[in-house]
Amino acid sequence: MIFEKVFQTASRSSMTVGELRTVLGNIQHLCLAAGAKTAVKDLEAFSEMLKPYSDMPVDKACADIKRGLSQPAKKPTKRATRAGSSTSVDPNLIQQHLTELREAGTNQDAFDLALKKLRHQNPSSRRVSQKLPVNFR
Amino acid sequence: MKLSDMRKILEAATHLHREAGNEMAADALKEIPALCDGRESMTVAVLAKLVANQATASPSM
Repeated sequence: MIFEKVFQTASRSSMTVGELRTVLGNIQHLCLAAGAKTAVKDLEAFSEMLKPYSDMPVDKACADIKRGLSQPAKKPTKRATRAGSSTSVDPNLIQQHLTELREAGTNQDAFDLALKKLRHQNPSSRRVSQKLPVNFR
Repeated sequence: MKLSDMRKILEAATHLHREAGNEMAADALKEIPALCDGRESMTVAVLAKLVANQATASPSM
């Protein structure tokens, strides 16, 4: 019965992808009967891959797919920014915090105060301060 | 399964259909292995994903 389906004759000169998917389905049945489970699964994936092209002639669909695959993947034009965060950097603010931290020197209280101000200004700076050795926090 | 193995299955299927006189199916099946050209070490799943992304990105689909 599988062979009857696989080898049914056709009268037209070209096939649509939808019809080809039927042929692939028949090959799947053949592989299933032979116990080739991986082949069955991958033929199914192959057939699903062709599904959006079902109404197109096979040669045109293949040409379209090949053309699409040969084009480099498009990179996103702009990185999405996280909600509530700003990508702009204020160099004056950075300089101010740097100066305060440097001036604190080895004075632990002054350093803690400067770091607290920095954390209060920008919560993301906690990641940086967490990497500091204990005696620098 | 790698595309090189899928190519072998499709080529065998093409041969079987040709031998049975189903030229139309054989011709259609013959077109498909061309999608594997240069991608023999890629898996079917990866190719399927690439084509699916392409189909969703293409305005004509």
